[in-house]
Amino acid sequence: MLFSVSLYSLHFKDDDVPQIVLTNGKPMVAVPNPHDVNDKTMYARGLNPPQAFFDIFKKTLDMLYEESMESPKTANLVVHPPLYGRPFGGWLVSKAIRYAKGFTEVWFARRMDVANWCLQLFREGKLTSEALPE
Amino acid sequence: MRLGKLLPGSTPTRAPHDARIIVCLQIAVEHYVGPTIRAHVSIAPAFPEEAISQGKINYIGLSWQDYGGNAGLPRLMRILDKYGVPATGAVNGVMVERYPDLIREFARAGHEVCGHSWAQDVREFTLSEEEERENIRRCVEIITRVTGERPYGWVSPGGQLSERTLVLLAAEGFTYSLDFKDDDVPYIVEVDGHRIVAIPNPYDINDIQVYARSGNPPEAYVSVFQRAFDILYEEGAEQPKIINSIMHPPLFGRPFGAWALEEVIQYAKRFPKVWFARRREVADWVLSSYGETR
Repeated sequence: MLFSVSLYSLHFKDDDVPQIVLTNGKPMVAVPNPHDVNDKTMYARGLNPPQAFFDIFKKTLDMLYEESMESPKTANLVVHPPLYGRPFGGWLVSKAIRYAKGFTEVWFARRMDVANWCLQLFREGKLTSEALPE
Repeated sequence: MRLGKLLPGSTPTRAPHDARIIVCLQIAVEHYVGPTIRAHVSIAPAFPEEAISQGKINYIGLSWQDYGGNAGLPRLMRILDKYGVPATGAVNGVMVERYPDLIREFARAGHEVCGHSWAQDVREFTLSEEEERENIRRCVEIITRVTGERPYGWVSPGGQLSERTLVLLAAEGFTYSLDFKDDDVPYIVEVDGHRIVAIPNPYDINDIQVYARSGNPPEAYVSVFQRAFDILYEEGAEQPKIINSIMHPPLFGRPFGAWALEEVIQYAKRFPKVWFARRREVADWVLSSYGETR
């Protein structure tokens, strides 16, 4: 139900690049949404020190940036306001944004923008699709 | 308790290249086929026990583990290639079936494919003798068909072998087993008249243990490796020691973890007398040192 009316879904953790999936014959964008850089999984559940949030984001960005010569990658940063919205976490979000801004050729995008970009490529025949398994 | 009957004097005292330390890089190419994807609950996004008990499909866990074949393993292979070092893949049969081109490429790149049960939730101790033999043969068949070479080694999922696993492996022509955690050196055991090389396979340097289950930051993986390397290298002047580095593509195949493989390789490469070996080479060395050939 959800899929049939959505432009995109964040239920995908199986790649670093977005993909087009067909649901009921209609294209939908699977935007990667890993939990690696996520205050809840990394800090609250993973018992890492707070700073690990930035370190993991930095490692992720460095690696994906190195690989992006072949195709653009998406890096994800998930924050929950009641957790890293607190002062002890908020400064790490600032630090992550500043770090990403230090690179050229970085796009800060809303998911909707990513989905529209992929759908445009799909319509132009530059992206293939795969059917979503039942 | 030692599995099998130890052959005294079967631990070699000299290694190829006069190595003091043997670095075994291990990629655990695993896949859960059943609802026991619950085993990944601590590292994959949480899936409620209630849903598991109702037999619901853990889509999010399945999507999480598919990262391994889609992006994680290719990335780890790229890093191994960058430094020109070989690895041993502990590969579930179902991963060979799902990603034949990738596993063929893995083997062609010079890495070894080691048997690792059909799936991560096909565990030896739950199987009858006939089922266990069939499980081994099914893995041998698909690995041989896809890579052109049969596997010579085996590691049970989670290291949880049955009382007859070693006997069955020996009868099916396997040379070595990785279900041993009781030493830093390899040795030969006799089971049912066959000889099997016991290669140490500790879980100390393992992304699931060090990062996902233990609440350490990813950097801990590298520091645990370096500490272990230093002490084994020092001791390796007397007798060559084995160090093990295990990564799972859905976990440290991700960008935040894969850098640790680079760090580990770079660190070991700083030293002379280091042998980056596939497990099969280790087994062949142990057997030939003991005056055996396969």
